[in-house]
Amino acid sequence: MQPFKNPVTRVFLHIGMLIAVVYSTLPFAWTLLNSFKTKKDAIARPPKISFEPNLTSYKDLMIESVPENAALIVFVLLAILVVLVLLAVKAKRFPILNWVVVGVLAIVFWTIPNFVDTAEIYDNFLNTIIICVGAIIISVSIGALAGYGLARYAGFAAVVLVILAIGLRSLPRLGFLLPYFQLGQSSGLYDTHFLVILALVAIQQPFTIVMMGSIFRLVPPDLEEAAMIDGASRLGAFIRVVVPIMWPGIFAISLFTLLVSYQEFLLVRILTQSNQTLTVGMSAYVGGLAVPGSIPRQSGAAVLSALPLVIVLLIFQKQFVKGLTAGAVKG
Amino acid sequence: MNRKTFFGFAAPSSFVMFVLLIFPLVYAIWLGTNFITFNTINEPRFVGLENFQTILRDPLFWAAMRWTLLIIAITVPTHLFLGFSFALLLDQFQGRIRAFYMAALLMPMIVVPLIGMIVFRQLFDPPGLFAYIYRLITGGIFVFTPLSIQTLIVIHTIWIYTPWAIVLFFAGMQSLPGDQIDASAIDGASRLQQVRHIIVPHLRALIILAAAIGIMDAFRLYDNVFALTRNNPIFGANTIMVFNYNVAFSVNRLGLANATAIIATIAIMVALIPFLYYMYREQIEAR
Amino acid sequence: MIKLRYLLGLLMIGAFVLGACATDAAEAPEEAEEAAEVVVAVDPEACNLAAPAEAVEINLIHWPFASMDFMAAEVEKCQEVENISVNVQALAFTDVVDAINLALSTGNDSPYDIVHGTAAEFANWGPQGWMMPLDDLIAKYGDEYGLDDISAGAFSGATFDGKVYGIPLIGDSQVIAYRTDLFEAAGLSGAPTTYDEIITACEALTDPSLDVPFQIDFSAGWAQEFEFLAALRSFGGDYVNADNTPTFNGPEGVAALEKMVAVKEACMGDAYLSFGYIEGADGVSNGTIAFASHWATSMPGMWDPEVTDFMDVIAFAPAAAANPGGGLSGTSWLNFFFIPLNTQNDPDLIFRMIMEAADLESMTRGASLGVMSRSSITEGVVPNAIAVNTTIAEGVGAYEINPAIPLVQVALGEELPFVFGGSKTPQEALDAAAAAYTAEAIAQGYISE
Repeated sequence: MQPFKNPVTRVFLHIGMLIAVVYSTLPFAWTLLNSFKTKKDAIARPPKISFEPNLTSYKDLMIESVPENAALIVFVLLAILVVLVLLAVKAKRFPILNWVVVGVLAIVFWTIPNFVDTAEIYDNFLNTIIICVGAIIISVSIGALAGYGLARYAGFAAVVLVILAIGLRSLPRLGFLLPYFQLGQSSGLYDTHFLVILALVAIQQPFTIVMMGSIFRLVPPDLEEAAMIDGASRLGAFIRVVVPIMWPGIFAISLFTLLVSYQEFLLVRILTQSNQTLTVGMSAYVGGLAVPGSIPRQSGAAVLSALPLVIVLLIFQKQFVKGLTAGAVKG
Repeated sequence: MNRKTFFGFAAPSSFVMFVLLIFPLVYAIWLGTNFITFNTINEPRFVGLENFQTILRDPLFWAAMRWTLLIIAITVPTHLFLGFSFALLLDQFQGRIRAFYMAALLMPMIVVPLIGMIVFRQLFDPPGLFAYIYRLITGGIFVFTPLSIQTLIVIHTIWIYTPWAIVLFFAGMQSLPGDQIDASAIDGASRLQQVRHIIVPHLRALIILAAAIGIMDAFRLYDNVFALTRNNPIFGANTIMVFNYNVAFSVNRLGLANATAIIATIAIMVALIPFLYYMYREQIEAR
Repeated sequence: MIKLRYLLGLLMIGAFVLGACATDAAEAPEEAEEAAEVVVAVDPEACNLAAPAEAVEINLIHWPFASMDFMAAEVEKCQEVENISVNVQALAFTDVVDAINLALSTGNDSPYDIVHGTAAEFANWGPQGWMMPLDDLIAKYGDEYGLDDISAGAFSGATFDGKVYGIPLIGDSQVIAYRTDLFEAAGLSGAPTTYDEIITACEALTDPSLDVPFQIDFSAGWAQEFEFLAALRSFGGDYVNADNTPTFNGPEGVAALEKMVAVKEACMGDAYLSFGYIEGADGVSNGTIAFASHWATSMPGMWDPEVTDFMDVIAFAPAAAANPGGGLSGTSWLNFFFIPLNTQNDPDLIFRMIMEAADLESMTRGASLGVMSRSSITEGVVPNAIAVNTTIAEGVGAYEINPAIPLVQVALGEELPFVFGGSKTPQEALDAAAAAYTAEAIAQGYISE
């Protein structure tokens, strides 16, 4: 639709949008506020909007004990962050720098526990990264293969797959609890990252395949057929011709997989003890029966468990939108 | 592509799905036909369809089903409408402003439902902001009654699912045929008419998809309802999943719980028949 | 571009070096400690166990509250011992119970080595044989750790068929917390001792700055039926007979419910649904509730200057009696550590790790967080310790170890809320619950047809 040009109308549009923004973010804003309050301020009457903020709840959650050279550590971390941002900006021209940024980040995360006595949450965070990245890599690769097959093969299997996708997406997790648990125990994979990754991959496969199929259908078959005439195998043509073209779509579907894997609670809780993700780890503070006077800590836990995804969302926003609608939009 | 190549491409995925999806599904169905509790997990007793009959005769099941369907009836059209409106609004902006607004609007969706409900509930608990505003306006304490809890659940559900609709419709609007719109403007069509006659039909597929996903997800509401109601039956706000959970973990009847899960899945698929038919026709046309 | 690469290289080398140095730095003090240990006396606060021969990983699961977090941390200290690694998992209460049920029901190797539970959970676990009897280990280590300091009554919630399965750590029960200044101003003479006195106090406390004068947790089915058990027994009734047939729907049950509803009407009105025990504790802490009756373990905020401004005027008393002349309407709860029968690790080692948390030294330090199970600890205890111990001594006692009881609770949880909501009479609701319970108990074999 053409944009409204009238400035008065545009003001109203902004107001409307701001209402929508407030509607979407007010609860988070309130919880964020709560996480910086002292226990007393959090239950104060009337509720306090201005108060003296402190980081106690975050400190309690993230650090077991404050190290002596805390100031130095913070300084070093900030310096590294600044350098990484600069690199990321430069990376627009030199894509290799992206990998450098990732590498440095990985090293930093790996070495932090040596300086700071980190709390459980840190391990949860690392586990979340391992499980989510693992699930994305496996799910997207086998899903892309099957989706491509779906796109190019005109058979009945496609219809069956869609019905399966819908049906399995509807099945409550409860139905999977016992079978997965017993499967894990009998295969000896119980309490490993791998089992959780496999379970997440399996649950998301049908939907992933349908989405992949839709985006690959958007690529005209002539391109890979040309490659095959030149002697490439079907697989080779797929990898070298189709994938690069559809890479944004694949990337976007990966983000969607990330979203689902990150939020998974029941499966992670059932299948592992020592390798729990952030979502499960924070649930003790947030869900069930919280402890009185714990509003700041509860809020801090809620913020921390949502934060990584929010950051990812902010960075990859455009691709996010593309991914969620991959296959749903017709050309 | 011939069939052999297709099987080749689909093999790894099919293998994973077979072992990790079909097998548990069959196992779950088998569990549903047995009398089995956590205490008798190694001695299941085959009872055929008895569990299914027990559930279908349970008034609590039907109450949960009615409530879940009511939630769907209220929330799905609402969040579709809101999503559509916000997407139209978003379309009016460009660049950084649009990115900022979009990010803010997407927040409710990326947050785990449990966190979303806790965050929501904090506003209404006695020390919360809304409870305070309520007291200022009415002079009384905001109390949880069946009606207020049910209203909160509905509002919260709309809140979580609107972003999904916004995103779908917004993406769809990017592929609007610009010349059609311009032509209609020249012909004197008002914006409202443009919406009705061009935009909505163009987004038809997306609207149906968003409705289908909204229906599926409404059946799965659990964590957030539980966090708000603390499982108190007086609110009459137990959704199907809460009911399922109670059966499984309160009385420990696994067989009964699996039967409920299967019945719920069948109910969802029945509710989605129009959508499935639509997808089937799409597949046929694509061939 | 060249400069950037240098910077990069420097950065990565720097990160490696820092990492390496820190590792050395972290290791160096440990070595110094080990050398020092030979000379200096053993630190009583640390975990003083001999290192096992092979690497051992111990999994502990619990639900969090201040004193329990402390106990779990004490066990976790055993990580300092070579070859021991401890993995503590804290989840919400319902998640813990579900996880344990799922893990132990199959009879396979247990993923958990130490499990937190109360008599309510043990009612299932004990008769099922999921936990390990600890009598031999208690006999073996009882003297070394002074276990007779813990009363026999404390062990009763983990005793089944004459055998003890759990180590009691933290005591809990319902107690009353009240504002002495508001009571004085209203002309009340002291803490109420019966539910009737509670009603009188509620009618006298009309300060407009209060949300409600009194809070007791009637907010959810499970909360109501815990209070119901306490009131029921105060009137002389109980859940079931010896053959598991229900007796809770007799006249005692009706009397108990009527009294509870009267308290709700006089003290909370419709707001009773908004005030669970958490909101109640916060309400006393921030001055919007005058007095409350609920779990002692949820009250630490009331003597914490970081949480409340009313520290000096909040006092504690044992639970009131629903039936004047009957037992105090507070049940005796202990939190135990159990060892699953099918644990993968050496039970002797696990037991000693639990002992490190249960020893006198640890409990003395933990006494400021909650009521410890050792009777000899009288210094530095929490302000409501006396109230808790009185309630435990004069209250209605502990939960019965009977797997049919959870079914009673579920049936009651479905019906009681409607009595409080006013749509069912006590007799109707109790009879409906009895019928539902009986059907389920017959199906699961607890009542013979």
